[in-house]
Amino acid sequence: MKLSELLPGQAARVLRVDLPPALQERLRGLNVRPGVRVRALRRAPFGGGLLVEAAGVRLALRDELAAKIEAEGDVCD
Amino acid sequence: MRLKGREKGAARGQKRVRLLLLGSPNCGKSTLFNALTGGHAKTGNWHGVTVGALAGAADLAGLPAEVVDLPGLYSLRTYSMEEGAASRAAQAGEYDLAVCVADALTLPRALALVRQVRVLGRPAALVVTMRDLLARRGGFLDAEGLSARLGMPVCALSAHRRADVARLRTVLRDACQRTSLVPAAVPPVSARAAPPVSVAVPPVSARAASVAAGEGERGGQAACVFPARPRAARAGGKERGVPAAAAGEDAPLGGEDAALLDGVYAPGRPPSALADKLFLDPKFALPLFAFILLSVFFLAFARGMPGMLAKEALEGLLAGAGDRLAAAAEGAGAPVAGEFLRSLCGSAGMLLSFLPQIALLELALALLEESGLLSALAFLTDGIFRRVGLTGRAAFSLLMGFGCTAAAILTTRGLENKPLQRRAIAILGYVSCGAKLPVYLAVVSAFFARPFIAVVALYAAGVLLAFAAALLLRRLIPGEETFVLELAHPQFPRLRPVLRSLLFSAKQFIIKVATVVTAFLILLWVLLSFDFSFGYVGVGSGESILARISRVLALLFWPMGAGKWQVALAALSGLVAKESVAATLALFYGDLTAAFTPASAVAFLVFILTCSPCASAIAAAAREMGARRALRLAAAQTGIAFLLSYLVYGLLCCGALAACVCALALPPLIFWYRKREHEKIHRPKKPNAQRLHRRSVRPRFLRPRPPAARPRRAGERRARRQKRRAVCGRRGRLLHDRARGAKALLRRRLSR
Repeated sequence: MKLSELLPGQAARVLRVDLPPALQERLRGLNVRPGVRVRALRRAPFGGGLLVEAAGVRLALRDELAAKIEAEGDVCD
Repeated sequence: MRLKGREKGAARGQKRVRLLLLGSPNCGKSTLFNALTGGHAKTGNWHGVTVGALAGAADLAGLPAEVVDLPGLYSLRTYSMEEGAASRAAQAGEYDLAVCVADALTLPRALALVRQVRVLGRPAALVVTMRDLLARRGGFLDAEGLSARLGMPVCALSAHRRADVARLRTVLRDACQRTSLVPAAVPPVSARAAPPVSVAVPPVSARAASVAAGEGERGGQAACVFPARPRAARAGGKERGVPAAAAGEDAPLGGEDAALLDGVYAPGRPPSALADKLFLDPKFALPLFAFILLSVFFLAFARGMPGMLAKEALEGLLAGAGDRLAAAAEGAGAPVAGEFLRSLCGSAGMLLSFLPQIALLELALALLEESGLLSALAFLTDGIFRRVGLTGRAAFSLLMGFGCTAAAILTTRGLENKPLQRRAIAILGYVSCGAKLPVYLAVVSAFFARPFIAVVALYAAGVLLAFAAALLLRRLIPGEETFVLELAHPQFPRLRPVLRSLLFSAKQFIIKVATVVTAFLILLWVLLSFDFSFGYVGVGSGESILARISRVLALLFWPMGAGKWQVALAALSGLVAKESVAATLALFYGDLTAAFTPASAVAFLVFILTCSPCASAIAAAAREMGARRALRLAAAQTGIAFLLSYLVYGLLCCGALAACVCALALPPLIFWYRKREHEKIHRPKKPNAQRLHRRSVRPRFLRPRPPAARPRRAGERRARRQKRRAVCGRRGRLLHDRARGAKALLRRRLSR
């Protein structure tokens, strides 16, 4: 599944990040890298992005980016 | 402290050591810099406050040093523009000690950067900030233990405590002196075959650099003990086939970092998440933000509120002082000097009297910045900004724009790419800066019974114009936008940083009025009081040098009903600083009703709202996107401002005629729009194709992007026992409703 398909409260483990190297690097700095468990906290209003928590770091991600992050689903709390 | 350090250094003839502050954004580098140097670097609780390098002299317990504050960066391989500057500074190697700064709450993440800095082969130290917050969360950090494991000095502190900062000075001094004793053990960067400067360039050179980094690690191993290193080097060698980012010293969180931090660090429990939840809840945070803005405006501008009262008191005080000065000069037998003093004090004093109101606005901005609400706001408003082709990060710049456009233009460096930055700079001109406030108030209070509502309407109109401009510019300056933003920890704003930034901005305002604006006013007075043959004609005479020049300019202002040359001159003076528009008007008119009719006053306000920002903002824009672009932008903004104000004046003066024209023009327009063909899109849905009718497939302002075709079918889902999930791009609302066997609008948060 894609990271963008997470509903608030659900968690998933990142498998692959299909983004340009620069963005990949930024996400790596924010703990979004393969093997890390990511939890969706909230969706932004007005069709905005997704708020996720990755190993203690909270970050906002646009849907377009989240849709390019392959994750292994349903690590529910 | 700072001066003392400098003197000591000069006396001993020592070379000042150079320290670089490196660390992830919002970890407290600027706060540390201010604590060490007594400087005034801007601080705030959001990511990307510092956008340029800033150097200051510091005294490290007797050792004179130069501390360089750099923009935050997550890794030496860079992503955004300001990070690039920091990364280059680190890799150029022109420093004596790299001070890695990490905040105690997210220490594990910072270790990757520490490792990258070590690989550069230069002396380094680690400073862990926010120790008090860690203690409050029940976590702990054994600095000595970590220091022994990392093989570099580690100092944990809270930058707001003097004792901690004093300890840091000693630690840094010892680190500097120790490293200067053993320079041979660590080879300088320039001596190596493959300079790591090219690390940022993927993919081939990055691979070479990662190899070089591996060598560097082995070379540096002689200097200190670092248990996890050999493994990192091996990983770098083994994974050479995979993308560069995955190779080298940057192993996933877990194994290595956990081993390093085991027993010396515990993050503690996050405090009650109530503030977090409230700040990130759109139903609470957005109204809260609107309430804060409105109440600030109300307190500052409504009649009988503190802002207005303080302003009137200050105005009376300054006017009295000016009159006394002028009377003294006239009494001494110099009537011209008396007149000069009177007009100068009148204009400059009028400006200074706006200090309380500007201070109130700045206070609100400082509180927002310190509390961390700003980054929550960036997340919540990203949906809006996305529709006009910007990202949530632009919210920072727009809010800073209420303070000073030039400073806001600098913060746009934090945006993701150049086209995005250009768009943001272009729309910042429409966000009324604090300097436009005196102009608005001066004009508005002469013509409106309720100045508060008029000023709020002006500010709101500016923001709406900014959004409209962004929408337009998305077509003109195409560019991808991406949005990744770390959210700051919300905190109760601390008093000291808030007061500090408030006092600093008040000081800046007074200095600006006292220097730039006063100098300009003196020049103006001279040019206004003498004619071309340098005979004294007196201010307000139509024969003076400037009067003749600006009479030509006044032709441009004639269509907006303000054809007086004094008005044209005032508008022109806005190029120097927006405050001087109000000052110039005050120079000529005691009562502004003599200069404008109500309709032309509104048109003039619209002109001031939309015309190009002052020279310092244009200079800032030129630094960011090139002089030619900046000048072109300023010219375009001014041209549009003229057209808009003509339009407003026309509408106000002959509204009925304009309404008739609109009424005649609208039906054909609507007819033309309706006649356009529908586009038909087919997308696979279940076994049957679904046909959608749309005018155009492109996402627009009012309509989010169309739902993407789903690659997976119901059968597959059933096989995997998966539930149907929210559809991307539709706000996560469209979900499969089992009862109806179709899609249905459901609540955003599902009950379990």
